Amino acid sequence: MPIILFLLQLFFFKFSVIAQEDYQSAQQTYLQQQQQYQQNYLNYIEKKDTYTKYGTITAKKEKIESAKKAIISRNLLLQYYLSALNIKLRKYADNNPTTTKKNQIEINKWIAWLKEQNAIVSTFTNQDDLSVNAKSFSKKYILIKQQIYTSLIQNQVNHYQQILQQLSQLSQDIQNNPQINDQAQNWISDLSIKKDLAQEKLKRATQLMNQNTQHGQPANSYPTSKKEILKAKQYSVQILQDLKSIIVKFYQSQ
Amino acid sequence: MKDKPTSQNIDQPQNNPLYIPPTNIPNPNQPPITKENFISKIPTKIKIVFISISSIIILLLLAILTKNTVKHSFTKNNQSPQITTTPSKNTTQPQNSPTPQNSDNPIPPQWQNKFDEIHQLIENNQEFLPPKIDEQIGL
Repeated sequence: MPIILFLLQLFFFKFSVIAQEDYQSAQQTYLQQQQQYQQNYLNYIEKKDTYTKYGTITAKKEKIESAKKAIISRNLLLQYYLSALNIKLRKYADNNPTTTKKNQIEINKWIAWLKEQNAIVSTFTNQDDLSVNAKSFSKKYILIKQQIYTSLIQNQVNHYQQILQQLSQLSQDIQNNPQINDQAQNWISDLSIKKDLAQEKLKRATQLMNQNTQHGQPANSYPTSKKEILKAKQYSVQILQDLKSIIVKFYQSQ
Repeated sequence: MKDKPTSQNIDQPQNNPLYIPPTNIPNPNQPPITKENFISKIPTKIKIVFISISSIIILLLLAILTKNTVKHSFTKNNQSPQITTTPSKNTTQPQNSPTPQNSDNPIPPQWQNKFDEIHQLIENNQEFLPPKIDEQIGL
């Protein structure tokens, strides 16, 4: 039995290491694409200026081609960003499996949509197609941003719930240790109040995000939700400090 | 016949053979020593230096006092998050506990690792914000 437990622990440790490597590799791919997009975008701006100055047919053709390249590059950048975000969400997803899975499904939908867009854009031959595409993309991007910020907050909530879980486990270990003076018990029990307050802040962060998303204001809600996350962080830090103080004051070495 | 002794009043100090006259005889012409006379005797330069040094010391003390008052009110306004519900028990660090058994205990290794792990989790939490893009390429 202990061997099985050990093997299970080893398996999950390895899995978390692989997941971390996956995320780092996805992040690297995203950063490389970011450079590519910047180059293509600057090239598009140059061609656009040239066409504005001279208005020749050649300049127009070059402008259209450079716009297509920049759009494809931009959409690919967003795909890689969303893929990396999806992988990041996997970590500590167990703390909120349903809502995390929901976010991951939505992210995958947007990745598929962006791939489809690139296939469409590569067939464009005229300015009208590009203009229509730009207007359509602007509207959709509001929804994409909404999903991004919701997922970012979900990731933070999962992360801090993991921290609170580990703090609970640690305080339990300390409370049950026979070398801890009985006088410490009250102090340890009081920490559960701070933990509840931290949980409340995390809940509030999610509520604010969902509330503002319904009103089509994803970017506005992110800073307010982030403030609640920071308050939860402060409570976590306090609990950690309090636990240290309890050990320093009440641990009886034999 | 013995000479009749001349009448001598030995109570008078000058008639007392053991009387020692005082050496500090005040000069009646010298004016009495007062505070004003003392101050007026001090040279002007020394007075100016003394007043300058005193002023500088007073200003420094005032500055230090003001700084401490501002620092105290700043830290008071920037405390940890306000608790929205009033807890029934004291949730601060155990400062009013009875005399601890070992007040300078280091944290045992089995818990130090866990503390470090949780600390890392808190500190290594980085945001992954979306890239800045032009939504209107092609317009």
